[in-house]
Amino acid sequence: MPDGPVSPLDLREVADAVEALTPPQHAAMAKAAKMLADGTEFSAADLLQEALTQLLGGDRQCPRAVPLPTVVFNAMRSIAWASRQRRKRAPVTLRVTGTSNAEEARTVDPADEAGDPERILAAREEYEAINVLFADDPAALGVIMARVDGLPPAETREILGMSATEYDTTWKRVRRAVQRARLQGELG
Amino acid sequence: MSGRGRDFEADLAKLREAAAEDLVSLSDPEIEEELRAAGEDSSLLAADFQAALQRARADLGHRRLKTAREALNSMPAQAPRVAVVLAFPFERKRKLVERFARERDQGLLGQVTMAARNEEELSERDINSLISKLIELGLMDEHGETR
Repeated sequence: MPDGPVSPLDLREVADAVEALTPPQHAAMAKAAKMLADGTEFSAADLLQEALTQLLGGDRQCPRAVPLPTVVFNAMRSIAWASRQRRKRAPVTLRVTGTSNAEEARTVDPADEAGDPERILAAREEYEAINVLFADDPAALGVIMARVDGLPPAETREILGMSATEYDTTWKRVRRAVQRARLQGELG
Repeated sequence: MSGRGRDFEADLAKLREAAAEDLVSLSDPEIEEELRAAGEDSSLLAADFQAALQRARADLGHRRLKTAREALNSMPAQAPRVAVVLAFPFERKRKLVERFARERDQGLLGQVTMAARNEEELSERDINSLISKLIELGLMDEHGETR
């Protein structure tokens, strides 16, 4: 039996909550996994599986007051963040162009260097492609910048002079356009 | 939006996180609409979720089985047996030892006979020690039956 209203769900309750999820919620979490797995060592399927394993096995708590899809999202975000940190810290082996001699390969510490150049370049290209995508839409660019900088919606609306509806509509437009462009391979 | 030294990976991750967080908090019809507008097939995504859930359950099943197997392996092969015979009255234990000595162990019989001849009674401690040794050697069971 739960200890009180603030206690996390027990394992039976977590299993029941997973059973009660709807197909659209399943789809939303799978899509969220695809979005969060980028830049990590996990595939989307593995990231989602890892989050579900941790929640169903009790390795990660499931707060009673938070809807399960959000709990799964939070678990995936945390796993993905840790993975990105690991990848940033992982040594990168650089090889002198035109040689296959292993002795000429050089291991660098990303803490001292810029990190994996290919990954950084890909991220930069994708970021710039998003800029191009919304080049004629200053409201969308403003909302993107605010989101990246972690600005709360209320503050963003005030700075950009938007109503709540305008903000929500703009952010929705951004989300959909970015996802569509990614699916179509327009973001690299 | 771009600049030297900017962490583009982190910026993109924040943007994706914000979009994903909003998506999972939408109502069912809103999710369907959002995925359709983004060009996604929600039934394929739902199938991806089901597959991940099945693998997660299988993974947990394997983990529990492994834990149970390890617990089983760490248990002693057999629980130590209680030597009921040691709780018998002294006289009965003495007779058991004498009978064993007579039937099975002439050396032990010699010790017992010598003790009797010298009018030295074997103490209960001596008897218990002998019985324990016989049980340990598998020559007597915990109920005092010789094997």
